[in-house]
Amino acid sequence: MINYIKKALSVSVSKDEEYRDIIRYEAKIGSTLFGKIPDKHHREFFCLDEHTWVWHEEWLDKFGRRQSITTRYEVRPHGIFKIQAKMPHRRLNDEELQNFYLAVKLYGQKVTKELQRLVAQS
Amino acid sequence: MKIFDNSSEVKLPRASMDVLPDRIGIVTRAVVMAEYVAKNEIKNRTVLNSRFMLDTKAPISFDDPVPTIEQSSNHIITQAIGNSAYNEPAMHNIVPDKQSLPVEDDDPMSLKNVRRLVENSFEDLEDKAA
Repeated sequence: MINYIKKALSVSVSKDEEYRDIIRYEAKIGSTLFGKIPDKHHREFFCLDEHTWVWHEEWLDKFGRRQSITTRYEVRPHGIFKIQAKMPHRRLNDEELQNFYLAVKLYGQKVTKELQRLVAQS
Repeated sequence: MKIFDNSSEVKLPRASMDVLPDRIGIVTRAVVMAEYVAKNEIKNRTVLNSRFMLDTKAPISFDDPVPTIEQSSNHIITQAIGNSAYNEPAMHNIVPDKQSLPVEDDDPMSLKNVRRLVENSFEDLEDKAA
């Protein structure tokens, strides 16, 4: 019984790890959708789940301190909302909405193609 | 919040056939949903913006073709709002200045003048005949 649980847990952990690896991989692809990343910047853009998209950016400020900002985009039936720490939820403005639409479209094309390539390889 | 390591190296994920198809499904559904909602919102906002657009810089011409229902509703909204943001008078305040309108009598081809000319010429002919 214990062996069975151990085995089940190890499979589950391994699946989670695999899942996390894929999201990391997607985030790297996502970061390339917005042109050149500035020096000392680290960017990630990925789909977290069916309703949530994440933009994460880290950079060094002029004092060499690490700064970061994480923006979560929530897709709701009546609109797309932007959520940042200590900020109220708000709808995307016109420009953001256009950019988000294009980014998601590109993400879909690039990431799906890449994942399908991985499926073909495995 | 630090989600990932900061390396720029893109590593191929350790993914199996158990996980990859699931993930493709999730991404596909997420993309379709986000595209649908974003597209709809862009469309709705475009319609709203066109309805509430204040075209204050357009010259006012009374020779313009009759506006469509859509344009008419813009016009009504423009009148109601009064373009106060631009410090300009509301459309309903702009009425043609009678003094600046062309005086019909000055136009030799105006109906009134042509009729007068014809009547005069008939009178002349009658005078001559008499």
